[in-house]
Amino acid sequence: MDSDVILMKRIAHGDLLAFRRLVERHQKGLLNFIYRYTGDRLLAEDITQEVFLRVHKSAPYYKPKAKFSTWLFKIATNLCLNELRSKDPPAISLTDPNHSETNPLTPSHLLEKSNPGSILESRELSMAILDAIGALPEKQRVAFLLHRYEDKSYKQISEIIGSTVSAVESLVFRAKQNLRKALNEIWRTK
Amino acid sequence: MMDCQNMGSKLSALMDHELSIEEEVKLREHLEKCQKCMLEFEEMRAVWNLMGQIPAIEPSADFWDTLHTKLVPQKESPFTRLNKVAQSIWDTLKDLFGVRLKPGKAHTFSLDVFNDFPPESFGRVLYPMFLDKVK
Repeated sequence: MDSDVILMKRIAHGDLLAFRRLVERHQKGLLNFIYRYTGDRLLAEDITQEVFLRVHKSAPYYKPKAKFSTWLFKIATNLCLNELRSKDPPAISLTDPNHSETNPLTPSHLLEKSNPGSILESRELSMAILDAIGALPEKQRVAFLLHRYEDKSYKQISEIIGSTVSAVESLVFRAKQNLRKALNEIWRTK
Repeated sequence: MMDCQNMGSKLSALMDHELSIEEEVKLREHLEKCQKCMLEFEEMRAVWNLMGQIPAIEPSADFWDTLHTKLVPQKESPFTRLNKVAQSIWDTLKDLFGVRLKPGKAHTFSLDVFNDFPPESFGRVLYPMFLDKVK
């Protein structure tokens, strides 16, 4: 049996140590996924904690239908989407050129403002990449992050976001295309 | 001979190791001959590698302590507290009116308004038909 599932069973019986082990095992991956999704470290930490609280709350009712991490990232994805929908305007599509002219957070705007030499500074580069990811439409963003940073297969992503494998293939491809457009200037100079 | 049109998603899947062995062999053969597709593949790979330059962040030192603090009040949820109150009222009524439960005769109330309760724990409550007896 999956060791995460064993821990969940122990958590269901009130074992706090098991919960701590589960948290320590997944906190970094989850935090980074959420951070890359939101671009906000404090918010990412809050959402990560909320994910674990929900895991703890649901432990008595948990049934291992899918891989534990799939379930975990499903909770995280839903919380990210809810959080951003409640606070921010809709995600900006990079395919719409009008948006990149008006939205101050788009990578193209960042590139215009930045000195081409200094953009290669690692911090600015990271920010440009995070901005480019943040400008992706929601589902493309989730699919891309799960694939690129969490090593999830198209099938696993389809289970997390409730979609078909071919739809995920298309989402990941379109995300790459959009990121390529947004980061074109950076990687050419790199 | 492969068609270069709509090759993008195939190249993307190749990079993601999501193609079957047969598809991968065919596509790699095509890439050896087609400079345009090879260039597109290289660009995709460059962006992919560039994406790896976001440094990973570490959870804050007090991550567990903060989480643990949030966890403690959950030990007695609003449902548990309400349940205790309801139980004591029910016990008092039973003592007062000597009501006996009739098996199989029960009302079901939906309590969906308590959305913040643990999932599936408090959707419905069985409430015996003691009121008829009281009347």
